Amino acid sequence: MGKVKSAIITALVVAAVLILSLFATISCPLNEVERYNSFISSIHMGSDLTGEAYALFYPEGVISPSDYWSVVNDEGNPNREEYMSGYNPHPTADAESASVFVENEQYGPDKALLGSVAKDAEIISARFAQKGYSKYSVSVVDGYVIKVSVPTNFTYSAFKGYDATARSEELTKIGNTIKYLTLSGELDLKNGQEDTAKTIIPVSYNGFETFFSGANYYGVGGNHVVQIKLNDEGYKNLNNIIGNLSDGTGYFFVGKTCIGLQLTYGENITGKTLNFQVGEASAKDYSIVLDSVINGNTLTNNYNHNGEKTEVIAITPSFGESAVVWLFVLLLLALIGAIAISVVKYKKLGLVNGLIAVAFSAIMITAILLTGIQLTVAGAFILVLGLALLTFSNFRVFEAVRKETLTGRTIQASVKTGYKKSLTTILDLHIVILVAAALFALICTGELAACGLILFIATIASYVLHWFTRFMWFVISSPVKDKFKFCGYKREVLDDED
Amino acid sequence: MKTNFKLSSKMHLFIIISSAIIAIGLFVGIICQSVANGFFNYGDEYANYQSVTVTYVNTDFSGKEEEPVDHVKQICETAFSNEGVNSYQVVVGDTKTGGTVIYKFVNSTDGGKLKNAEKAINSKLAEEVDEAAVAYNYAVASTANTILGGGKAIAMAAIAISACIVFHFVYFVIRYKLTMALGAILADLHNLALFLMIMALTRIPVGSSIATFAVITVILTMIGTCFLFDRMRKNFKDEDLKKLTAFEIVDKTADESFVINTVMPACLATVSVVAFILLSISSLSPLTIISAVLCSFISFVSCAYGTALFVPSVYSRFKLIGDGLKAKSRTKAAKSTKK
Repeated sequence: MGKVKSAIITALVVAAVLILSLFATISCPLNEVERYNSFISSIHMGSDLTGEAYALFYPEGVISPSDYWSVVNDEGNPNREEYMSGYNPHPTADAESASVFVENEQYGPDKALLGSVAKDAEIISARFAQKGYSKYSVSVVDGYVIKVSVPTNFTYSAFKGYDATARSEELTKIGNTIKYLTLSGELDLKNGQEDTAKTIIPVSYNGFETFFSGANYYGVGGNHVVQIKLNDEGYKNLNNIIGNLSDGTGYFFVGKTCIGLQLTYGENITGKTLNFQVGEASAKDYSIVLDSVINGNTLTNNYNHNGEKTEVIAITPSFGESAVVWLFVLLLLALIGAIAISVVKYKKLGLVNGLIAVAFSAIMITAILLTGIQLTVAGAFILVLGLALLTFSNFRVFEAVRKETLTGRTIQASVKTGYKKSLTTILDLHIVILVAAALFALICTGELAACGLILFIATIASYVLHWFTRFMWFVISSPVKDKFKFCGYKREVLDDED
Repeated sequence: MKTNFKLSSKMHLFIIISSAIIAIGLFVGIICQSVANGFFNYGDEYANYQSVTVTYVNTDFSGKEEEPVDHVKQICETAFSNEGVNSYQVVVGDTKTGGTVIYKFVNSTDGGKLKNAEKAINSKLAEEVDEAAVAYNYAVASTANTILGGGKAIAMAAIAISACIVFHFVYFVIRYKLTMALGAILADLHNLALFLMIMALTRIPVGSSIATFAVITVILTMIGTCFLFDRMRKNFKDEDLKKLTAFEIVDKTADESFVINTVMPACLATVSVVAFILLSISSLSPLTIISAVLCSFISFVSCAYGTALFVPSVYSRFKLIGDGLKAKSRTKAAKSTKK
C-alpha cells in the first residue's frame, strides 16, 4: 500500500473514532436553553449510580406519624379526639417513638392485619420481579408498612438535573408502575371509567378473572400489545357479557381502579385472546398486574387510598452523588492502562491496538445507549472484561507473530502465519464467551441479565475489532521501512515468551 | 516469563490445598447456616436492617441560610454519636415539602439506643421549628425492615452458570479432546467452588455481587482454559516436542500460558483496587464498596490459581489415564485383528 493511500485511510479511521468518541463522551451547552448530552450521559444508570426511588404503602387503618401528629397537634381539628382514642402507637407503646399508628379495630390480638400485609408484600415482590429491574426491593417495615424501592433509571443528565424533562418522565413512569403493581382487589369489567360505574359481570360467573388463564405483553415495530388469554369458560361466556354492554364498550378494573384497557364490541378479540394496544410504558405494568390477579394473587388490603396518596421519593445512590463521574474515571483509567501496556510492549503497534481499544469503548457506549441497557458498577466491570478480552486476544496474536519473526520470516509473512495459527484460539475463545453471555442474558434476571447482554455485545465487538486490528496494522505499517521497530520486535532470536 | 514450575509433580500439593480450603469453607458455611445468618454472610442487600428516617420541611433551621439537609444530618450524627451507634449507609431524598434522610443500621444494632437517638433528634427538631411544623419534622426509628425476594436472582444465576459449564464441556468435547473437556469442567467447578467456599469462610458480606462475581469467575475460567488447552493441543501436535513426555509437555504449556492466565486476573484486580479507591472517595465511606472489592479479589485469585496452577497439574494425570486407555484399546484392537 502506498504512503498516500495509507495516510488517507489512517486519517479517516482516526477521525471517525475520534468523532464518535467525542459524541460519546463530551456534553456541552449549545445555547442558553439547549444542551447537547453525550451518549454516555444519556445511558440509563442503575440504583448504585443514580439512586433509587421508594414509596411507602400504609394499609387502611394504619397511618404515618406525620398524619397522626398533624391532627393531634392541631387542637382545633374536629378529628383530634377520634385520632387520640382510635389509634395505637406501634411498635412501642410510647406514641412519641411510634413508627406507625394502627387503628384499634385493626390492632387485635389475632394479628390478622400483620399477616395479610406480609402476604401482600410477597405478592407485590413477585409482581416487581417480573418488571426486570436491575435491582429492586420490597420490604415490610415494622410489620405494617410495605416499602418498595426501584432504580430511578435516570440518565446522568437527568440525575444531575441537566435534563429536567427526562427526570420527571422517569419519576412519572416509576409512579405509574408502583401504582399499578400495588393495585388491590379483583378483576372487573365496568360500563364506565369512574369507580362508581356498574359492573357488567353477573354474580353467577363467580368473578371476571375466572374467564382468563393469564396475561402477557409483546412489542412489535413500536406497537405494544397486552394480550389476555381466555380459558374455555371465558371463551364460551364472553360474547354474552359483551352483548350486555350498553354502549358497546367495557372498562377493565382492578379493585376500584380503572386501568387503561377498553374492551370494545367487535374489536380486541382474536380467537381465544383479547388484544389491547397500549403505550410502551404501561404495557408491561398492565400485563403483570392482570396476570397476577388472574392467577389468584390478589392483594388483601387497600394501600394509600388506592394509591392516591402515594409519594415516590428519589434518594441519592449509596456510592455517593458523584459515583457516575468516578466510574467514568475508572473506565477511562482502564482504557489508558490498556493503551499504555500496549505501547510499552509493542511500540507503534501498541498505538494501533490503542486506537482499536478507543474504538471498542466508543462502540460499547453507543451500543449500550441504543439497546437501553441499564449500566451498573457490575456492568462497568463487564465492559472492562470485554476490553481485556480484546486486548489479550490482540496480544496473543502479536506474540504469535513475534514467534514467527524469530524463524526468519518477514513481518508480512509472519503476520499472515501468526493470524492463521491463532485463528482457532481466538475463534474458540469468542464462541465460548458469546454463548456463555447469551445464556446469562437469557436465563438471569435484572442486573446479571444486563451484564450478560453487555458481554454479548462486547464479545462481538471484540471479535470484529480483532480483525480490524489486522487491517489497521497493515494500513498503518505499510509505508514504514523498519517494520520490526514499528512492532517493537527484535530481529535477534529471543526466548519463547507468551 | 518462564516459571519452570514442575506442576505435574505437584498435583497432590494443589489437590490438598484446594480440598482443604473447600472443606473448611463448606464446614464454616454449614455451621453458620445453622447457628448464624446463613451459609454466606448476607449483607445489607438481602439482610434485614434497622433504620432511622428523618423527614423535614424546607426550613432555614439555623438562620444561616444553611441547606436544611446539612443541618438535619448534623443533628442526627450528633445523636447517633452520643448513643454510640454507627450507620452503614446514609441516603437523602427530596419530598414534595422538603426532604428525607435515611440512616441504615445493621440488624444487630441495639434498638433501644436507636430509639433514644430518635427521641434526641425529635426533641432537637421540635426546638427549632414552630409547633405546627413539628408533625412534618420528625425522625422515625424502624426496628424491623424485612427484605423479601433476592433468592430468585441467585437461583437464576445458578441455573445460568450450570448451563454455561455444561456448554463449556460439550464445546471442548467437540472441538478438543475428552480429557481436555474434563480439564475444562474441572477448572470451572474448582474455581467456582474455591470462590464460593472462600466467601463462606471469610464471612465477607455478600449481596447480588456474589452472583455477579460467580459469573465473572466462570467467564475468566473459560477464557483461561481456552488459552491453556489450545496451547496444550498445539504442543501435543508439535513434531519438535514429540520427544518430551506428556508431563513435560503439560509443564511447558502451563509455563507458556502462565502469564496470560495470571496477568488478566491481575489487571482486573487492579481495576478493582482503583474502583475501590474512586468509589470510596465518592461515597466518603469505604464500607459501602469494600465487600464487593474483596469479592472480586477472591474471584480473580481463584481464577489465577485454578487455571494457571491447579488445572495443568491435574490435567497431566487425565492425559496419562487417557493415553493409557487409548493404548489399551489399541492393544485390544490389535489382538482382535490377529485373532
